Amino acid sequence: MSMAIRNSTAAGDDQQLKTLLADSRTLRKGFELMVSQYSEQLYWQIRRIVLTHEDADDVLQNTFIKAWNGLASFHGDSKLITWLSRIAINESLDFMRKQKTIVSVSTDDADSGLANMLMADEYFDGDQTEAQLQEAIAGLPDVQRTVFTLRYYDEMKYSEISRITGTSEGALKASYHIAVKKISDFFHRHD
Amino acid sequence: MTNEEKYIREKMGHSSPFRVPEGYFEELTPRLMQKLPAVGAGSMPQQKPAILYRLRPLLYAAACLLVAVLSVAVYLSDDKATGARQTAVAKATEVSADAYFEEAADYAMVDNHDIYACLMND
Repeated sequence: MSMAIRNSTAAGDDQQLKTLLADSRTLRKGFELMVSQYSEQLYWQIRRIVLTHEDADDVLQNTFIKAWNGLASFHGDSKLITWLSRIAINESLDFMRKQKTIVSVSTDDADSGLANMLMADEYFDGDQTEAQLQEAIAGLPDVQRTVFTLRYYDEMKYSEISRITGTSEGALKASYHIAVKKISDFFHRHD
Repeated sequence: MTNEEKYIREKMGHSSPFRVPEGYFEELTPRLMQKLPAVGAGSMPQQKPAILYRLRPLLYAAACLLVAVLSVAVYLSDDKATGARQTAVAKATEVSADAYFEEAADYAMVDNHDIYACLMND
């Protein structure tokens, strides 16, 4: 690995990664560095939406394939992680919409399937209440669910969430507080 | 943080119930890279010159300052023009008042001697 690439790895400099990605000679190496830099962060953003490890792994792969194929139309006007998060969140929500359709067709009650599925998942260590909590979060409308996930778990600023989702900061703040209220009500009911 | 947020933080705690297989993240990058097509749709478009990008805030500030300076200049020049107009109007008024007095004095066939005498009597 050249000194330039080693330095960009150490610094995690967004601009340097973009420079590598803008040159066809260093494109693949730059993309590999980007994957190495951001894959774990993206995985958790995805996992909190799709819930199971296998699904999160699939969606993460799809995210990076989409990013690879969409690089030519990314003009670098946002940070790489913002661009990647946008793809990841959209892929995750699309995945869940398709899952909901499948689950509601195969069972009479789509909601009870999610908590039970989690309890059966070997990579879920929570108890029944935690599984039901995840089901409650999964039941939130997309904007509420996304802003709650990113704000509560990642402590992301509203300005960054706005850039990822394309929703105004005001709408995000309102959605977050509604989501917090709903989650709070869930815990009160299970106390 | 609102009370509700504090409440759910106490309930949800700090640990996550989600786990990953052992070594998952260590082998993630090479595995993801293998899934990518050999040739992508192309590289990122060339960036704008970095120096221009960094100078953008400065350029915006300079543009605002220029607009402010031009606005003040326009206002002041307008003010001077107004002042000049007011002086011209005052002078014109003064001239017309004097001319009116002279005309009135001629009509009454009153000269300066008569005017002084009248004022002395008052």
